[in-house]
Amino acid sequence: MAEAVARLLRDGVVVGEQAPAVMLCDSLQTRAAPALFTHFFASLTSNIAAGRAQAKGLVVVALRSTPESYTSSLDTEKKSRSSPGHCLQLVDCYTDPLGWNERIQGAEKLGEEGQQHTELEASSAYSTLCHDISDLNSLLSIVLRSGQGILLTHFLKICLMDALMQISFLLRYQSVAAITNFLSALRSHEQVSALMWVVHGDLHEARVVASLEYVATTVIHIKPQIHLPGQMLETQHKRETRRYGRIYVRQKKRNGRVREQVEEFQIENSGVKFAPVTLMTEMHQAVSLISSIPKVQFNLELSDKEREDRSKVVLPFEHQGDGKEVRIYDGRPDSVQSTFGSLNVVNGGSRHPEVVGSVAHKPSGVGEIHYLRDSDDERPDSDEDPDDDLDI
Amino acid sequence: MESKVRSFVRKGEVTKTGGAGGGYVQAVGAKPGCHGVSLVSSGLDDLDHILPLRNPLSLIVGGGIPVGGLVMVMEDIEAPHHMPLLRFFMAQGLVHSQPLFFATPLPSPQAFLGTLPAIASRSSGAASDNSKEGDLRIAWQYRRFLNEQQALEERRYRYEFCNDFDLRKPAERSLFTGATIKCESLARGAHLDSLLDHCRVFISNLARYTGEGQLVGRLAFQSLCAPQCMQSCTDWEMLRFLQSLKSLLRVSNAVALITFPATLLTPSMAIRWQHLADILISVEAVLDDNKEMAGMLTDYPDILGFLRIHKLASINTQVPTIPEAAMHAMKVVRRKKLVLERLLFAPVDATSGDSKTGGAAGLLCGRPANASSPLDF
Amino acid sequence: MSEMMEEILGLDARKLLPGSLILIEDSVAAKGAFLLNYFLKKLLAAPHASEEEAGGGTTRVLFLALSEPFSHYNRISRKQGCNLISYRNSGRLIFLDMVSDNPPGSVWTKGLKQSALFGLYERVNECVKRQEMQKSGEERTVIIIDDASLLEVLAGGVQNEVLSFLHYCRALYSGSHRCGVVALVHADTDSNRGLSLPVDAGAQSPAAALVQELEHSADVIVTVDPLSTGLATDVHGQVSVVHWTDALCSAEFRRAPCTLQFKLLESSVLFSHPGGKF
Repeated sequence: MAEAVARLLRDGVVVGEQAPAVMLCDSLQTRAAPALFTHFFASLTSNIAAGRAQAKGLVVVALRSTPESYTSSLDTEKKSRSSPGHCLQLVDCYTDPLGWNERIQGAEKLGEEGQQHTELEASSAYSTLCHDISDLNSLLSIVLRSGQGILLTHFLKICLMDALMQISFLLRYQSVAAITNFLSALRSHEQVSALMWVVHGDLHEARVVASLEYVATTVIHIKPQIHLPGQMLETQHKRETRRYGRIYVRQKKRNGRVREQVEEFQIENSGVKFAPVTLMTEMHQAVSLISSIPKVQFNLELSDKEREDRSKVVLPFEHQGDGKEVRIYDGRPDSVQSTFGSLNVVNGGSRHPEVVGSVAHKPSGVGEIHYLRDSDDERPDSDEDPDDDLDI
Repeated sequence: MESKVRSFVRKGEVTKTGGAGGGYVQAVGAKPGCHGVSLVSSGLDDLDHILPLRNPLSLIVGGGIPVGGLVMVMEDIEAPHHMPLLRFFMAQGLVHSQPLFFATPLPSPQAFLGTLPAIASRSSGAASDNSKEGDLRIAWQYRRFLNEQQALEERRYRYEFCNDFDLRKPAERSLFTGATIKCESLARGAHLDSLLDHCRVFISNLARYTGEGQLVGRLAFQSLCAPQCMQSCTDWEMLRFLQSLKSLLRVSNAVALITFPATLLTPSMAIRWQHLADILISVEAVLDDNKEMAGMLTDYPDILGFLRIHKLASINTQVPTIPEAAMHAMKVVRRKKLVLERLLFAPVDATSGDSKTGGAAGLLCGRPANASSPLDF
Repeated sequence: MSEMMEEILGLDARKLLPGSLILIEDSVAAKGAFLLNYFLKKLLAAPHASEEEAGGGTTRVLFLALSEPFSHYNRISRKQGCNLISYRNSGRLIFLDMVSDNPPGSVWTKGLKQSALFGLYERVNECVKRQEMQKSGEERTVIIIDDASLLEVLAGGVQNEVLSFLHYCRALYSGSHRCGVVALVHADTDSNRGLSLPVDAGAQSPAAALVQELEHSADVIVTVDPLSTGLATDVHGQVSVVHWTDALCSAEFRRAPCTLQFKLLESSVLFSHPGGKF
C-alpha cells in the first residue's frame, strides 16, 4: 500500500522507538524505484510544507541523481503553494563523491578558486557538498548538521527526515557493515523522523540486500507486472515492464507481525498511479474467461452498476458536510437540544476543541457527535488492523 | 561559419606515417587497399582472398591484412591448425624481408623459426630479389588505370604479394641472413611491461624507414594466453597489454598476429579479447571418422580442420565487411600446399534420411551468427 | 531514412538534459561504433541552423577515443559531410586521442596506480574547464566515450573506477550545465547476459557486471544486435532504443520503444522498420 508507506513517512517516529526505515528495491526489469522514490519524495515534501508531517525538514543525500533534480521538483512545488522552501536540505554527494575535484583544485593554483566557488554557490542555498563518501562518519555528521540548519530556522520539535539515498551507489565504496551501521545510526538518532533509501537488488549479492532489509522496517520490492504467456508481443512487453509493475510492500509491525501487500503501479507522465491488484479484469476478454475466480452459483463480483451504487451509500456515522445539519435519530426526542440550551453549555468552552473547529459556525450543533474522517487515508471499511498500534 | 568550411578535403592533412593514419605504405609486400589502408599478405593465398572482400580491388587481386591491424586466431585446444597460419604469416614477412618480432611460450623461439616453410620451388628466390621492387610499384599504378593489362599483371602481382609455401621443406638459410628478427620467449611467464617495451622499440625502429624504403614490420605472438604466460600476469594486465599493442600498431607500419587458446580464458575475458581484434579467425578440429559429417561433405577425407571468420577489419570505415562464407575447410594439397576452401555439401541422400543427419548439419553450421563466443554451438 | 532513427531517439542537442547518460551496447558480431559517429555528427551539426535564434546555445563535444585514433573517425565523418578538423579548430570539438598519443608514459602503459582513471579525469576536467574559459554563454558539453569497456581495462578491471569516472564526467560542470555522456560498452562481456534473469534477481550473480551497473543509471539505452538470422550484406543488424527517463525527449513525444534495422554505407546509415525497405 503506497498510501500506507507515505503515511508512515509522514507520521515518523513514535516515542521510544527507532525511526521507521523504508527500503525500495528494484531490478533492471522495471527500474521503477527512482520514479516511486520521487513519488514518496513529493508527497512528503507537500506534507512537510503543509505542516502535516512529524518531520519539519527533509534532508536528501543525493548520490545517484543530480541535486538539481530534487531542487527543481521543489521549485515547481513552491510555485503552486506559497510555502517556505527551507524544509529541504541537500547533501550533495553527486558532484564530488570521491574528492577528485578537490584534488584537482588543490593541485591548481589557489587563484582560480573564485571561479570554482561561483559554481558551488549556485547550488549551495540548499545543499552541502560532501567530498568524501568513503568517510561515513563525516557524512553522518554532515547529514545531521544540515538537519540542524533546518532546526535553527524553525526551532520546532526535533524531527528530521532523512531520505532518498541510493544505497547501491554507496555500496560500491563501502562494506555492507559500514552502511548498515550508518543507517542504524541515523535511525536511532533522536533528530531523525524517518528514513528511506533505494537499492538496486540485482546489483548486489543476496546477502547484502538481506542485511539492508534487516535494517529497514518496510521493504518495497518492485517487480514487473505478471503476464500470461503469449499475451504480449515482444516489443510491447519491453514497454509494459517499463511503465507498469507491482510493488510488494512488506511491513514489519511493532507487534511482531509482518504484513505483505501487493499493489500495482503505473508510471505516467504526471507521476505514479497506484491501483489495487486487478487480477484478470483488465486482461483481454478471452483471457479473463480463465480467471482465478472459482465458478460458483452465486455472484462473487460486483457489476459496475452495483459498484457505483455502493459508492453512493452514505454511511450513517459520517459527516456529510453539505452545510446542513445532519440529524441522526439517536432515540432521543428533539427537545434534548433545548434542555442542553437551558443548561447553558451552548457556547461554553468545555466542548472538545476539535468539535469547535468544525461545527462552530452552526449554532445548533450542540451535543452531537461528528465523526470526522481522519484524512483520506483510510476507507471507513478498510481492513486495517485496529490493533495496529497496540504495543505488546 | 564553420559550415562554410568544405567537408570534403581531397588530401588528408594529417599525414602520419602510421599505417592506418593516412597515405599508403610503400614497401615491399604491401599494396594499397580501400579506405587508405595498406595491406600485407597473411602468407596464405586463400586467406588473403577471404580477408577484405568488400574492396573492389581485392575482389580481383585478393585482400590481405591491413597495416596497423591486429589479427587474432582462436586456437582449438585439440588441433594445431593455428600453427601453419602463424608460420605462413612469419615466413611471408621474411620473404618480403620485413622485420619480424616473435614471442612464444616455447623455451627456444629460434628452434621454431627453423620450422618455417620454404617457398614452393617454382617461385623460390624471385620475391626476395630487390631489383623487382621498382617494377612492382609501377605495376600497381598501371593496374589502376589499365584494365586490359589487369589480368596479365594480376598473376604476377599476386605472385609477388603472396608466395606459395611448401609445407614439407624448411625455409632456406638464406632467408634468415640479414633479416631483422627479434625473438622473445615467454616460457617463464610473460613480463608484459618489458614485452611491450620491446614491441615499442621494434615498432619505433620501423618509423626510421621513410619514403621509398618503408618497411612493414610483423609481430607474431604464439599462444599468448597459454598457462605459461599467464603465470606472471593477470587477465587485466594482459588486456591492457593488448590494448597498448593495438594502439601502437594503429599508428605504425606494422601488423600483428596473435594466436590464443580462447577456451582457457573465462568467457567474459575471451569476449574482451575478441573485441580488441581487427580480424578474428578461429580454427576448429575435425572429428575423425565421423560418419555423419562424411555424408554431409563431399571432400570430408581431405579436410584437416575448419577455419571460421568471425570479424573482418573495418579500419577507417564504419561499414563492416561481411565474408561471403564464414566457414572454410583447411586442406593440404599434395602434402605440401595448404588451401582453404568453402565447404562443399554433398547432395542429400534420401535413403539415409534419418533425423540424425541434423546433428552433422548442426555441427557444421549450427552456431548462430550472433553467438558471441566460438563455444556457443 | 535516418529520420526514422531521429524520431525514435528524439535527439536534440539543445534539449539534451544535463548529466544524462546515453548508453550504446554492442557485441562482437555487431559493432556499435557507427552510432558514435552518428551522435558526433548530430551533436556537432544540429544546433547550427538555429544558432542565431537559440542565442548561441552551442553544444561542444569532447571525444575520448580509446579504441581508434582520430584519423579513423575523421575519415568516416568526412565521408558523411562532417569535417572534424574544422570543428576541432573552432573549439567545438575536443578530441582526446588516447590511441595515437601513446608515449611510453601514457595512460596505457604506466602501472596500475591507485586510481588510474583519476589522471584521465584530470585531463577531461582540464579540457572542459579550459574550453569554458574561452567562451561564455549558454552552452553544454557532451562527452563521447569510445569505449567504456576499455576504461575497465585501463582501470585494471576495477569496476568502481570506471563507474566513478563516468559519474564524474556526468557531474562535471561546463558553464551552468553538467555534461552529458554518450558511452559505448560491449554488452556481451557481461557473462550473465542472455541467461534469463530470475524474477528474484537478488539471489543470483555474485558480482554485477559493469554493463548492468551502467544500465541502472542510463537515461537512454541503444542496443545494437546482429540479426538473429546471421550476417547479411543487405542488413547489418538492428538497433533498439529504450528511453528510461525523459533525457532526450519528454514522454508525450516519444514513441514506444522500437527496433529498427540498419544498413551501413560509407556516407550514411540507413534505417528501416524490420522487414521494410531501406
